[in-house]
Amino acid sequence: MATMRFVDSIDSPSVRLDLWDRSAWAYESFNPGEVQLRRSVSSSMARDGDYVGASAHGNRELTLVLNLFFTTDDDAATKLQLLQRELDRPTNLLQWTPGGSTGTVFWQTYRSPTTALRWDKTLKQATVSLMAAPFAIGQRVDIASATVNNDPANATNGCKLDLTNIQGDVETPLFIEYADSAAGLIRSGLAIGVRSGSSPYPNLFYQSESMNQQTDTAVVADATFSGGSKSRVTFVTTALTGRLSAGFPALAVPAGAENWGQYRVFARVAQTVAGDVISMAVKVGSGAYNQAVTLKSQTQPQLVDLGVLDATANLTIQGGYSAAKYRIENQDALVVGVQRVSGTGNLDIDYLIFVPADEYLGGWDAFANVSSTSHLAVLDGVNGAAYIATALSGATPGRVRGSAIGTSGDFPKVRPGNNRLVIVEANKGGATPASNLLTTGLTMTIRYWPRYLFNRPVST
Amino acid sequence: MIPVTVRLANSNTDRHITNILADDPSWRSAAPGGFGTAAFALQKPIDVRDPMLAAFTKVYIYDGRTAETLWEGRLQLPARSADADGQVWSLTALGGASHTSDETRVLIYIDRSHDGWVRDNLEASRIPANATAGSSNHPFNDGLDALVVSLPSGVQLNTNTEAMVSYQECAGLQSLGAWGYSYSFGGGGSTNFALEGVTGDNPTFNSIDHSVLLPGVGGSFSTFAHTSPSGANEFPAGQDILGLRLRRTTGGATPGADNLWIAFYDVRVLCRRYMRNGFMGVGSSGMNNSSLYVRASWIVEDLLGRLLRNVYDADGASVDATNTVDIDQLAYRDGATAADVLDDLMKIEPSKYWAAWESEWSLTHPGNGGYRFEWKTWPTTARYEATVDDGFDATAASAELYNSWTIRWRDNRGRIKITRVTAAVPELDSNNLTRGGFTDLSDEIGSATNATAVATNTLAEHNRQTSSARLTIARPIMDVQNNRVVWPWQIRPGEEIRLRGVEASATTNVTQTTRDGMTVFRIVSVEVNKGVAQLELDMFTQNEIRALIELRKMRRRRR
Repeated sequence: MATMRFVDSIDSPSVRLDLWDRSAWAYESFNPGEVQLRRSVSSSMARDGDYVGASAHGNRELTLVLNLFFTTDDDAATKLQLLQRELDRPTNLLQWTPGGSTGTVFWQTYRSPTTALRWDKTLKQATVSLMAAPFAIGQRVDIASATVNNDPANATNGCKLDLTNIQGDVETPLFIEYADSAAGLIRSGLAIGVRSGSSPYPNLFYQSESMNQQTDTAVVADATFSGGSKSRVTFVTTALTGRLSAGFPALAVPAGAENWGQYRVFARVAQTVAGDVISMAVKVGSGAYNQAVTLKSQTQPQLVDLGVLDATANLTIQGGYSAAKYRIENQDALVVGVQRVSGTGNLDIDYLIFVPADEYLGGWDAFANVSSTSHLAVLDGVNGAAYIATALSGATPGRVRGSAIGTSGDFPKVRPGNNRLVIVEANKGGATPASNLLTTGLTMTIRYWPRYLFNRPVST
Repeated sequence: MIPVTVRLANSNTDRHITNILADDPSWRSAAPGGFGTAAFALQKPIDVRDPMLAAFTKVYIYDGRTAETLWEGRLQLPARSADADGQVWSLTALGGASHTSDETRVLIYIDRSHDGWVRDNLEASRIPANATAGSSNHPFNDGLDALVVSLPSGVQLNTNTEAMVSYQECAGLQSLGAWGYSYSFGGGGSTNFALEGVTGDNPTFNSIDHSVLLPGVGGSFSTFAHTSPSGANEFPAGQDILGLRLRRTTGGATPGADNLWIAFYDVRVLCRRYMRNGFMGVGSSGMNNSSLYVRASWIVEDLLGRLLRNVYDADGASVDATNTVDIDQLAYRDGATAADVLDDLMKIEPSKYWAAWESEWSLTHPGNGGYRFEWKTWPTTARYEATVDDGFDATAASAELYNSWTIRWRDNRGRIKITRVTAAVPELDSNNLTRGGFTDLSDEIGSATNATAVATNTLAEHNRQTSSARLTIARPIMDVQNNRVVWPWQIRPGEEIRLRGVEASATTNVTQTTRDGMTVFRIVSVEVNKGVAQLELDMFTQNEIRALIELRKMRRRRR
């Protein structure tokens, strides 16, 4: 059944003004207008054609022709006033379900005028031009909760979560609630990278023991490390030197086109002597080392962010205009360099994990100690904020607890179809995050509101 | 969309504001300096103050794909307007580079100037009226300047009568780190007089650190401050006044026919320097084992520990310790900011520049919250590869050619000196042209060594054709150093870029990868707006606004 009405929310809409109740209003026509696409274009006499550097949708104008049902002119004036009040709101939500369609969408509108008003004795009609955000919002989709395990070798959501069949016409931000699956106390810093596509890349991480052991480095069995082994650097040479190397972006040849792209590299490591000062850096191919990062002086395992790498720089997936996709076979060498600045101990390297860094990647500081298991960490991509709140599905939803959490980068967004979230949990445990534990995990509930350029199909 | 996000953070709030920006953020970075300025606008009512708009709120601009920091700084007091565009908060932020101008301090690193030496007034009661003490010519060495102290002949001199010059320029401001001199004696042969180098805690001299009984032969001496001095070449740390004197040690005697005198020459005073950890060094090692000179990287370490530690990550700073000049004069007795000192260091070591970047390079190991600082050498190979397809313009490459450079400076006795250095520049020489520039080093860094170094290094920067060029980058380009493709907003200054589509130099080839002002340039600034980067190459372009800014910032040396 068709609907056209102003409502107060998307998830649990209460009607403010029904424009299709046929006792006050009936919309005669609805034109969603054209969405303006702004482009950043550069041109030069040095080449043919213009270069489009970026594009962004602008707002749109929704045009409604509304017929007013009335008994008297006073009755008409009262009903018209209700419309004017809705139009005068700085922002509003217009829910629309086309007749015969099951999908409903919500337009985010801005204060707008009545552009034309026909006031006849028997016919009263208003034409409204509503400025609206470019995309219509679909009702919330909740993805079943899943536990993301903090060991990338875990066969079940090891540092990743695959989201399939994301609905919508365009990308949409995620709303993520997560809790410590063990104790309900959230302390972890977190980083999430998104890679969309039909076949998310296979080589998410390298166990250090599967890499070439270089200077002063050898594999040591250790059941407390991922895969049951680690690579121990014993620092006969203390200067910054390559300790591990491997082909990149995939260990196994042939690799596949899915491994193209940029990655942010994290390493899980542990010092054997707390007071040692050790720094690490990575490089790929003929490039220079990234900025070296000094590890925290502790013996507990820690996850360290070593920056961005791209082994496929300036290469293309297709040769020329060919339809055939290239796949990567010859590999650039990924090198992990380690330096012991001072001290006497060793460094144990567990694994490297590659978080995609060419779509959306964000990092969040550790959340404050949360005393109640009903409180969740919230990554609110819609509002661009991270905070602690009660669960949306709980008895007392939407109670915000505590101030906002520092965030770097961007909140995760997903594109229609399949997406992979690669999730690394920095460190946790104790009053302040200290240790990266393989045995822990995060229970994540992911929600999103699909976005459409017009109306919503049945299932996509 | 351009994948750029903007975050504001202070003690009250931490928010991403990308979705409420009224226009595209723009920002500028430069070498030297690092992150410079950023500007953006919020469409919000101006009658309500949002806590996130407090002064000095931290501003972060990120690349949303990689979470790398593109720009970081602090909000200045926001401007508000209400006009046809609505109610708008115009926000300007300053990057870490601005903090080098936060404070002005007296900074004496090495001072050979005699201007700071006076006839001592702290022990005036011991100095007879007809004693002499001050800057003069060496009594028997033509052309040698000295601090000469003498006691008159034919006069009864009691014990402790003295003639003394003292250095009080750092009193109450800095403590002495090292000092030294050479000395000569002259006059009558009494044994009851001594040459003494003394230090004290203003206003009292309390330590005799060097003593030579007359008569004697000349010599040299140097000493270093130590918290537990032992041995002849250490004096107590914490002293802030220095005296050089001729003193009657015992008895009463009438000097001989000639006035007794001591000439102190090659006198230099060095104040203690900080290490980057915020503590001062001790002993000889704390002064890098030299009382004769300082080096640029040592001064950078001092600035980090003394003035910049509260805003920069001093412990994690990268300081290139290769130096080419032994600086024998570097004293800002009238005060200077860290920016002033760094500017002078770059004159002396023009292959170096400084920059302050992001506070958090690694998501998991963000350092101590201070901006990442580096004092580094300009690279000599191109990092970026680009074309001129999106726009390029350059001034005449010959506009900055010079074959002579003149330095004005003041010597240790305050006399104005001129040093002129020439260099071979084929384009000028073959046309019988002489083009020269001028720099005033005054007394703060005025010395023959410094003048020659500055002139020589400046000419080395101007003996080939370089351009003040502007390049527009609107599309991804190759970063060959890191083997990555970077978007315009990811380009950093302080690197070199090689261009395709411009003429190659006649003396180099098309595979040129080192700077030649024709195809390979230094990137001195990057300005990003709407996802497009404007690069200034080799030098800042001269326009009215830039000229006004430089005029306003220009350091007016007082002496």
